[in-house]
Amino acid sequence: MTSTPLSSKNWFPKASAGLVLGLGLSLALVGIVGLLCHTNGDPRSPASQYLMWLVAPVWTAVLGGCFMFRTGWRAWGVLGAINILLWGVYMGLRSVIS
Amino acid sequence: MKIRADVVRMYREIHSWVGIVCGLFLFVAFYAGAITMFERPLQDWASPPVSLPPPVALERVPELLGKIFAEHPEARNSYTVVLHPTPSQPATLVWGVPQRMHGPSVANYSALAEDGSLVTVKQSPSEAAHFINMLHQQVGLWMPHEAGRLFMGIVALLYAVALISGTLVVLPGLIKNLFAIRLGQNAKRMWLDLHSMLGLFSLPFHIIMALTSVVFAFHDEIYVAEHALLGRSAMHQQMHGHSLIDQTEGHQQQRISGDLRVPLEPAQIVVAIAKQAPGFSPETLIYDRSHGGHLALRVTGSDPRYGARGASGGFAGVDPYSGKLLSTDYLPGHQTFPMAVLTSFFVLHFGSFGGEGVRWGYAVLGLAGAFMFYAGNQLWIVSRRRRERGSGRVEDTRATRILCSLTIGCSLGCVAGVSAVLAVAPLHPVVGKMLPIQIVYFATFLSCVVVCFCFRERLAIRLLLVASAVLTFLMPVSAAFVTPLSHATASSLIVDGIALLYGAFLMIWAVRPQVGQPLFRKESVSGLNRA
Repeated sequence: MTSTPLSSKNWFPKASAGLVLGLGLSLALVGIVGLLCHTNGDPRSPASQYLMWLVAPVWTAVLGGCFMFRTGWRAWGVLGAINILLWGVYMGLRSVIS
Repeated sequence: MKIRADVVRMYREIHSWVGIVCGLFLFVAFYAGAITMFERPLQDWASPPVSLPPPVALERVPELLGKIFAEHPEARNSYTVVLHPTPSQPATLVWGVPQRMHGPSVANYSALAEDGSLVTVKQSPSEAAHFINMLHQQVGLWMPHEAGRLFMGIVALLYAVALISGTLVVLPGLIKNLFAIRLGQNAKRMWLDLHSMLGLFSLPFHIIMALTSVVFAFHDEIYVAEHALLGRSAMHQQMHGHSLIDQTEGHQQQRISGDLRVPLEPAQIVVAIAKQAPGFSPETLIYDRSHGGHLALRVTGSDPRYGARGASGGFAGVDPYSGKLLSTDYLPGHQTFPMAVLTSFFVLHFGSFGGEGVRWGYAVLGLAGAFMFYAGNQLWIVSRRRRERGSGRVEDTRATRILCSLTIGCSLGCVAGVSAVLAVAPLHPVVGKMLPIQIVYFATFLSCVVVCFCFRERLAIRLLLVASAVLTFLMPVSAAFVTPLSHATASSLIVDGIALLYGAFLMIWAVRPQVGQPLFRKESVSGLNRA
């Protein structure tokens, strides 16, 4: 841990990472949970409605928390890595399940 | 609670910038939302009396239906039985409503004259209450609905960031500042205390609103993504295809047998529903033949013991031939557990639970929220001003001046505009359509903003508060002009009374000497100048 204090100066790279990668991350979660629960994405079924509601809290939490990264690079890097991991899990599950 | 100083400082900066960007939009959204809690009473209040015989009793509805079908065969395709007619739905039978309409739309209202002949009146309802709801949904902007929805979503995301950052900022001093409202000479301290106290005590309400608004804004897009993620696999498609075929076959069968059978009378439907869903009070029976030609019945209504999915109630799919409940997914108290939990998310946004008490509570929370955004903007202005005075300036900088004018102009402009819309609402049908109402609102709103740019802060606040008060006082005047007081319903008189009280409240705020300050302060006005 370096001791440079956090700052709001570099808000744009951090916030854009939170906005874009936060959405990607929450959608990947939707995909994973949906595959595990065998949901077909039909908006009438309760399961897909719950999945739809999952996006808002995850996305806003990432968007609010992304400022805790010290630099924009780190925000894009860490969130990007989580995205790659989750989307990988989703692809894997999808090829196994269907 | 201990949070690192640099984290708090960073989030404070983020909070003020996000707040200043979305605060005024949120003010309008909350103010219009609080008014929208009373959309139905306002709709009734704004509806002029119609020249119709008294509503037909439920037992005589079959006779009425027979006469309508004989004269207007097209009415068979969709008609609605209103069980408790109100000034905005003045007849037991409403038909000819265009398909898939949002908000109030033109319709035919039918009743029977004393000699048994059919009387039908075609009428378009006032759009005023619906306009205020749209203002709420589109954060106060005039734009196409889709664009407005997405813009609202962006504001909702910013609002969520403002909530998270604001909470982190107040947490360290939480215990010390919890109940402290320092109404001293320091204007900054006072706005800050008001802003954080309102925010903190209504935090759960704000969290609900932020999350549900993000969902309301983006649900279509999220469902599309969800379908792309989960819906394309072969196995699922097969299952999906099967169920589709089953459904169409079912429809076919129903249609063949349906045409031979005679639907139950509405009174029998009501009895059948009372047996199957005791406690549920039905409001309308909506008959519709647009899905594959077979007659479908949807019964709307509410149950005081349960929250309802929609802002005004839930509904059930009912077999019109037997009165049997077909779908209870959205029927309050008869939902499966997962559906009931989902419904609770909507209920928490709409405040459609617990009756009038909760409705008023939500209105108060909404107004308090609007005031919190106003206080936040004022706080921003006051601290900027303080910094500028500290660096030796005597006058405000241009940016401060603009922001100050915008804050007062947009917030009080919204208050005045909503009152103006409601003041002209009863003068329907001259101004009942959407466009004149939009013109009335935005003309009022923009002239308020202009006033703020032309006059000094205090004078502008005073002028706008007086204007809002006068416009609010005009509400009962124009209502009485259209509907004589002797004919007004109790609910309309209550609306009139509340308009008078609210107008008086605005007037008091306009005339008191410390105009622009949130509370009566012991110190003289010089306190503000010092700050």
